Amino acid sequence: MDAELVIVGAGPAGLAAAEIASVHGLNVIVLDEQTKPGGQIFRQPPEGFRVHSWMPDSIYREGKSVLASASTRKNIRWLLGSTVLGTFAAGSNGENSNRIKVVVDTGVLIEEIQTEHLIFATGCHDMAAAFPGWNLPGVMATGGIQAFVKSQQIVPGERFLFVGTHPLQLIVADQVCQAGGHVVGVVFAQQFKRMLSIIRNPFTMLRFSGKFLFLAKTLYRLRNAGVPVSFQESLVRANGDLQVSSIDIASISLDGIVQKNESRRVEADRLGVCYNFLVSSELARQSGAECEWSSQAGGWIVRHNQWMQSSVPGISVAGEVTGVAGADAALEEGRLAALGVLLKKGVLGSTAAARLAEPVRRRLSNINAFAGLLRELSYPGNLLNQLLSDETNICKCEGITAGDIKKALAENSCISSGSAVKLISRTGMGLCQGRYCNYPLTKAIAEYREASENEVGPFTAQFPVKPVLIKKITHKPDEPA
Amino acid sequence: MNKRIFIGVERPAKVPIEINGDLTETYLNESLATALLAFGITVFNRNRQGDCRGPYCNMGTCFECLVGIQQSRPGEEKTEKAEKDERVEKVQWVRACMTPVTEGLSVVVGDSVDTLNNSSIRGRHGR
Repeated sequence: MDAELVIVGAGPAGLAAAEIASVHGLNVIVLDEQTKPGGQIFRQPPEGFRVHSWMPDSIYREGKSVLASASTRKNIRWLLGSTVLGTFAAGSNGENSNRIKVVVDTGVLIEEIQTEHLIFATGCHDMAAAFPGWNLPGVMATGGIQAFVKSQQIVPGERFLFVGTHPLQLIVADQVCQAGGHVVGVVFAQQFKRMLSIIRNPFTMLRFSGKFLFLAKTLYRLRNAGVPVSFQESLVRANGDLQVSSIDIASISLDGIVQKNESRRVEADRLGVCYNFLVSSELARQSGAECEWSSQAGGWIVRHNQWMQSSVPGISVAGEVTGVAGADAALEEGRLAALGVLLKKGVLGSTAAARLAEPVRRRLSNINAFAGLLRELSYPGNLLNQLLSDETNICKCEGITAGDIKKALAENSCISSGSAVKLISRTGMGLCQGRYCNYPLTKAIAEYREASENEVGPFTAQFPVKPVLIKKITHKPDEPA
Repeated sequence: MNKRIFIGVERPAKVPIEINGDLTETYLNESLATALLAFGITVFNRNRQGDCRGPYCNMGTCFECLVGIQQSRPGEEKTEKAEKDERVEKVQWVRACMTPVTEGLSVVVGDSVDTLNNSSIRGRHGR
């Protein structure tokens, strides 16, 4: 199988890129693990479901229209329910030297796609805060709770508590309420004053009035539903035997210290954790793309030039993987990445490409100004550090605790890279392949060794970037699966 | 309890599935994680450390919602022991959040599946 352009990820960035590229006549393959396009933000209900008023708010209008228009393009081939395991150079020095081989688990078989142009629009996932009890069933990523409500059309619990720093938790709490669920509280770590200080500037308010109006409406509905929204508080631990049954909450002092000894207990069977998001840059890193660290924008973000091209020839990036900035930024970056591919292929001349890119860049710079505010507002800083005890799992898959990491660093004074700590401690070797522990581990090593995160470096991303049955890899094409 | 949303939502027909050997039915194409939550199941597995785990990310990233899918072989007659071995051998671990419900799906799930979990995961990876 081959294609003129392969796009990994059918979220806003991938959809926008696919739309532009296909309009200019390219044959495009779009891959996604989900069974329908839309990504996490526009995660559609399953096949055969009909939802009469799906994501009705006006802030979703543009994304939904791109989704609808890309879905009808004839020259886009969708490989959904497919997991990309990695990429390789297709040949060396010969005529295939520009070609990239994309290895895909389509569910039954491993398939290879060859292309000269690849866009990674692999998005992001919820940051997992590590605190005592964070692995109990019933503790969930707030984005995960939201996907149950908006896609699967189920309220996945009885009593919900949301804790974190990101305004998304207001939106999800509201969606749970509207769907008939019971929300017992939304807890923000920030001071209310600090949140206000960002929006107090009337110019900011005016510039992003749609977003603020949406949040204000959400807050108003929550207040009407009697949901307590509190500020300057943090979770301390989740309690429960087989699953979570209560959560301890404590206030945060003015100098930012969690008052763990004066906690209050909240009964809930679902805890939504909502601090920030981490970029899904594993595939880009496995492909050799250079990354750099950003604490606020999601960890190991992928470097790119003004046409969204990464350090690897033929591989571009778009959307959250370049730094978490939301769906609107992802749409624009997807468009830019596609224009970059069209320019490189010679479909567009440099004048035409620049002319088409100009309004995209203008919108993107405006959106990025808002994204920057949101990142600053939501960044939990050293709060998450305070929640860790020595017995808390950093690596949930392998059961490696914060204490184990400290011990490994103390006993091995010569190791200071993320990958070395992984080898010596097994942190990041489990089923999720370090997607949740790499961020806190990078910060922990940097702090312990008094080094920068870029000196610590990310885990080396290996093929396959997600677990796959070995029999699929060893299976020969002429044998039945 | 977990509540499906019915107002303004049309679903496909229900299909039979098997949960821990009990025959029941749920909606075609909804995720297995949804079906299990709707039946009130929050604990999906015990991991290699013996800890209970359930859905976390609901997007295929965290691998916390693993459940066993039994590959049924209709028509084959087995002794009780052979059938038990077969069950252990033929269980395939899948992410419940990424697995759409299909007719006749047979799933092993819950806080008591640690034996299966240990034999099929701990035994192979070692620790």
